Amino acid sequence: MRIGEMKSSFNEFWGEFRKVKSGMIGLVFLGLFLMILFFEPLLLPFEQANSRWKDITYWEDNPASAAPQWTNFFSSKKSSVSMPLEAEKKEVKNAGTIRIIEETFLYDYQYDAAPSDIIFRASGQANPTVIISVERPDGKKIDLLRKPLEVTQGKDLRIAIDKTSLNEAYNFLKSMDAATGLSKQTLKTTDILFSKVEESVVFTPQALKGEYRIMVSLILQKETDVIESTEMKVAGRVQGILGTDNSKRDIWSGVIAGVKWAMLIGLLTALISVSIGVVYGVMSAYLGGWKDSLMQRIFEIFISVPMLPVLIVMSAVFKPNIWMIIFIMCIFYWVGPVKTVRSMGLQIKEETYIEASRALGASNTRIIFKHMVPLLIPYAFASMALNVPGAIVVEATLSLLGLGDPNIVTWGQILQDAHNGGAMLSGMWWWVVPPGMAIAFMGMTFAFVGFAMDKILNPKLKTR
Amino acid sequence: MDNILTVDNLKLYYYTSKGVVKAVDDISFSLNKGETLGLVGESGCGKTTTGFALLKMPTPPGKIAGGKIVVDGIDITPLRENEMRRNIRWEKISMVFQGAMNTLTPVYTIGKQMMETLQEHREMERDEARKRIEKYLNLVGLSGDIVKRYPHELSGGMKQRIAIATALFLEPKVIICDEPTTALDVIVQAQIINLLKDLKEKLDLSFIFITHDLATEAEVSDRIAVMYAGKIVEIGTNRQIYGEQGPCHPYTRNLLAATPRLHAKVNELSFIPGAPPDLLEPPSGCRFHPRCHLAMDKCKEEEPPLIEIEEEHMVACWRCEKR
Amino acid sequence: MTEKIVEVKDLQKWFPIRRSISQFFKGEHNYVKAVDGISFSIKRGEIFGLVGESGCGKTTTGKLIMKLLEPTGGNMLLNGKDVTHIEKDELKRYRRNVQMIFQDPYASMNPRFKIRDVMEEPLIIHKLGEDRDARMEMIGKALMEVKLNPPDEFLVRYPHMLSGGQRQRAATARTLLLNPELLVADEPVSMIDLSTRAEILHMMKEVQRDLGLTYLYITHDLSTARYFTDRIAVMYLGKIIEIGDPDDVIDNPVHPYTRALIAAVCEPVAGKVNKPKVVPIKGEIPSAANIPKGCRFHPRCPYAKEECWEMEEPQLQEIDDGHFHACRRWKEVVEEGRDEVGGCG
Repeated sequence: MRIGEMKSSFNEFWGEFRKVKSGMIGLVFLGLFLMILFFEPLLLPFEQANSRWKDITYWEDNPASAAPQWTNFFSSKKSSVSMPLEAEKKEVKNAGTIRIIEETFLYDYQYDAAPSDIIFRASGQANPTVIISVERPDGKKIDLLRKPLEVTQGKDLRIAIDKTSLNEAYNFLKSMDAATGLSKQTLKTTDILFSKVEESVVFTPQALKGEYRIMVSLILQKETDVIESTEMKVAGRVQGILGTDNSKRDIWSGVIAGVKWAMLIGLLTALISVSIGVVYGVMSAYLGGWKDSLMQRIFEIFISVPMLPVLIVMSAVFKPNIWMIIFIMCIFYWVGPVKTVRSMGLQIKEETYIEASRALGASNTRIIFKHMVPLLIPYAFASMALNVPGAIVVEATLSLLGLGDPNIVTWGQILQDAHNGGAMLSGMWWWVVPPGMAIAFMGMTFAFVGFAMDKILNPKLKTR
Repeated sequence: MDNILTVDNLKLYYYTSKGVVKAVDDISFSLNKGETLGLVGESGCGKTTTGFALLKMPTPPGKIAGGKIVVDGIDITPLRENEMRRNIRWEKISMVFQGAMNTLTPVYTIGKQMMETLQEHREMERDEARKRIEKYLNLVGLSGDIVKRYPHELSGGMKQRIAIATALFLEPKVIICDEPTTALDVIVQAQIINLLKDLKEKLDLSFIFITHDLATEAEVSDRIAVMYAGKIVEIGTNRQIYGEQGPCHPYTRNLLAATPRLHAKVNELSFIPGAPPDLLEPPSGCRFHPRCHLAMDKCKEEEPPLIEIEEEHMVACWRCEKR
Repeated sequence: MTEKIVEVKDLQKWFPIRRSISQFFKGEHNYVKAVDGISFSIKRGEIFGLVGESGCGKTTTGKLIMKLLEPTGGNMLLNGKDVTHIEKDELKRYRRNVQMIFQDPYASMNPRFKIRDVMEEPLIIHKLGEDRDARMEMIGKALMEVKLNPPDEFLVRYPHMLSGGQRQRAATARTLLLNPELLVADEPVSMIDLSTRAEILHMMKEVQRDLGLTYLYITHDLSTARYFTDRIAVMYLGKIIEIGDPDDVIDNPVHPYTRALIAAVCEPVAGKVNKPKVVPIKGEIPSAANIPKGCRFHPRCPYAKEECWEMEEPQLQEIDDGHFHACRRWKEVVEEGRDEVGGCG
C-alpha cells in the first residue's frame, strides 16, 4: 500500500475509533500511562527508585510502614509528616585546634502522633565527637547522645535518634517518675520525646506540641577533619503520596517506576506470545492433515513442560534479567491461544469465501494471513488484554524465586513483598491497593482498546 | 362454510431501536374447516410473522399491535401467555416451523424428545403417551421403532415427518406449516405434500401453508392469499389464481410470470425490478407502486382496499375491476 | 480453439471412510463414492446443466472441475490438454480459465472485506493490472458488465450492505476479472428471491453472450434448468443416468429416475390440489458408501426386474440424436409409462 493509501485508511480507522466510547477511555488511560513514562523523572521523589529498590541504604531515612501523607485529612489525630529540619543557627567555635560545629535545628511540632525517627546526617572526612540534645517546649532538656563517631568520604555519618537514644529517653522518664511499671522494650524514643510526661502506669502518650530545638555539636579534634554538609530530617509517621512499606521504601516511587516495566513486560509478552500463538493455531488449522497433527504434537510437548523447573534451571545457567524473563514467558505463553484459535480456524476454513479464494488461485499464505488471521484479531486482542496482567504477576512470582531482575522494580514485586510482609494483616492497605489497582488499570486499558478495535474491525457490529 | 380460524385487522409490529417495522400491517382472512389456505410471498413480506402471530408468539422485539384472532370459536386475542400455553398452542393450533427438522436435539433420541413435548402439554401415563406417539408416527409413514434412533441417523424427509407428527399428536384443529418442503429434495417434497393431503382428509384438519414457492402452493392450497410488504394484496381460490384467466393484482401476475415452468417452454422469464421495500418507511399509498408497471398517480397517494372482484376473489389494486 | 472446452472421462471421486475391524483385516476399504465414473463434454459457448438431488454428486463434480478437489480416478481435459493432476504454476494458470459462482452469495465473500477488496483479490493474486488505478479500471468495467452501476457506489460497501441479487452480481463480476473461459455456477440463484432470480439469470446469459463464456450450471431445480441450459445431464448417486437436450429430456424422459423427478416437480397450474401426486419411485436414497449392485437405481425403480440387479451396471446408450440414457429396460419403461397417469409423459 502506498503512503497515501495508508494515510487515508488510517484516517478512516481513526474516524471510526473516535466514535467508540470505550476505546477513547482506553486511549486516555493509555495516554496517562505514557505520560507517566515520559515524565517519570519529574514524578519520582526518589529518582533512583528503580535501580536502588533493593538497596536499604537508599531508603533508610524513611519511616517504615508509614501510611500516605494525605491520610491526615481524614483523621482527627494528625500524624507527623516527614520533613527536613531547618537549622536555626549554625556556629563554628574554635578552641585552639579544636573546632566545634554547633547547629540548632528547629522543629515546630503540632501533631498528635510523634514522628518515627529523627535523623542526622553529616558527610565529610572526620572523627567527630557528636553531642545531641533536645530542648522541649515544656523547658525540659534531654541529652540524647554523646559519642565519638566516624565519617568518611564513602560513608556518611548517620544517627537515628530512635535507635541510639532509647536509654536516654527512658532515663528521662525515670527522672520524672513516670516510668514506673514500664519496661524499656515497650517504649519508643520519639513517643517519649514528643509527649507530655504524666504519671501513669499505662503509658498513653499525649502529644506535647510546640517548638523543639535539637542541638547538634560536632567536636572536631584533628586539623584534617572536615565536615562538608549536615542535615537533619524528621521521619514522620506518615510519608509520601502512597506511604512506605516495611522496608521503608516509598511506594509511590515504586509504582511510578513500575509503569515502564509493566508496560514492557505486559505488552511485549502479550503481543509476542499471542501473535505467535494465533499464527500457529491458524496455520495448524488450515494446513490440516499430518502437518496439523505434527504441529499439535509439538504444541502438546510445550504445554506439558512445567514452566517452573525450566525457569529454575535457566536461572542457574544465566543471570536473570528482564529480557530473558520476557523471552521465557513468551516461550510458555504462546501456547495459550493455540487450541481456541485452531478450533476457530477450523470453522473458518470451511467457510465458502475461503473456498472461493482458493478457487481464485490464492496461495495458502494469502489465505492464512489475509483472510483467517484478520478474523481472529478480535480474539487476539481480547487474549492480549487478558494476558497483560497475567504476565505482570508471573514476573512477580519469578522475583520471589530469586529469578527476577534485581535491577528493576515491578508492581508484581511490590505485591509479593506486601504478601510476604503481611501487609493486609497489618492493615497496610497503601502497600497492596495501589500496585493492585495499577495492574487492574493497565489490564482495563488494554481491554478497552481491544474492544474498540474489535468493534471497528468487525463491520457487522457497526451501527450504521 | 365453517370458519375454523378468522383473523381481523391483525397487526404485528417490531419495535426496534431504529423505529417501528410494520411487518404485518392490518390483514384479515379466514380459514374454512377442512381446507388448506396458502400464504405466499417473498422474503420479508410478513408471511412467517403472520404464522407466529397466530400462535401469539411474536419474536421480540415484535408485539401484536392490534386486531382479533378467533380459533375454533375462541377469541385468543386477549388471552394471556399461560392460557395460550395451556389451552391453545398445540391443543387447538400448532405449527411446523421452517427448518423444523433442524430443531431436533442431536443428543436425545427421537422418542425422548417427542415424549418430553407430549408430557409437557398433557399429563399422560407413559404407556398412553407411547401409544399415541406410535400412532402418529405411523400416520406420517414412519415405523414405531424410529423412537430409538437419533436425529443424525435420519434423512431430511424422515425428520420433517417427525416434525409433522409432533405438530399433530395433541390433535389440534389447525396446523400452520411454514416452508415445510423448502429444504427438501424434489422427490421427498412430493412425498411430504402427498402426506399432508392424506392427513388432511384422514384427520379432518385445516392447514395454513406458508411458502415463497408459487408452484408448491398450486398443488397444495385450496385458497391462496398473496402477501406483499406486510399486506395481503390478493386472495383467491386455486382456480382463480392459477387458472386460465390468471390473478388480477400486478404483483401476483408478475410473480407467476417469474416462476419457471417445467412443462412449458418459456423463452423469457420475467422478473420484477427493484427490491421489496424497507418496512421502516414503506412507500406511500399502494406499497407495490414503485415496482409496478401499471402504477398511476392514485396508486402513490391512496392505499387500495381489498375489494371483491368475483365470488371468493379479493384484490387490493386500483387497476382491478369486477370480473 | 477446440470445440470441446471440457472433456471428462470416467471421472471418479471416492472419499475414504472408516472401516470396521473385520474389513481392516480383510484388507477391504470403505469409500463414499461421491462421483463414480462419469463422462461428458461441454462445448464452447454452451450452457451445460448438471441436475440431481442432494447427494447425487453434482456439487462434487463441480469442485472436481474447479480443481478444489483431486479426482481419484478417470481424467479431465481442458481445451484438449490433460489437466487431471496439475500443480502450482500450471494450477494457477488453470484457475484463470475456470472460475466458480457459489450458491450462497453472502458466504462467498469475506464479510470483513469491502467490495473493492473482494474484487481486487483475484487481480492481486494473478498480478494483473500494473497499479491500483489500472486495477480499479478493470474492476469498474466488470461491475458495469453485471449492471452494478455506478461502480463507485458499490466498491465502498461491505457485503452485508448489498442485497442478495447484488451480491451475486458482484460475485459474478469477480470471476469475470480473470477472463475465464469456463464458469462453474453452483446453484447461483437458489438463495435469491424468486422475483430477482430471473434477473440474475438474465444477467448471466447476457454476460455469456458478450464475453463468449461457457457455463457448467449445477442445480436441483429442473424448471430453471430447462429455461437456462442448452444441454442437461441428470445425475443419480454419482453417475449420469440421462443426458440430452433439455426439451427432449424433460418432455420425453427415458430413465425411470428422470421420469420420477419430473413427476415430482410442482407446477403453478390449477386443478392439482385434490389429487395426490403420483411419483413412480420407492424408498429413500441409499448411502453413497453402499451403492446397490447392478443398476444403482434398481431398489427404488418401479420397473426393475432381475436383469437390473443381476447384470452389470448399464452404460449410457444413445436413442435419439444427442439423447443418452442408462436404462436396460427402457423400451418397456416408455411403453408402460405411456399408460400411467398422464400429464408429463
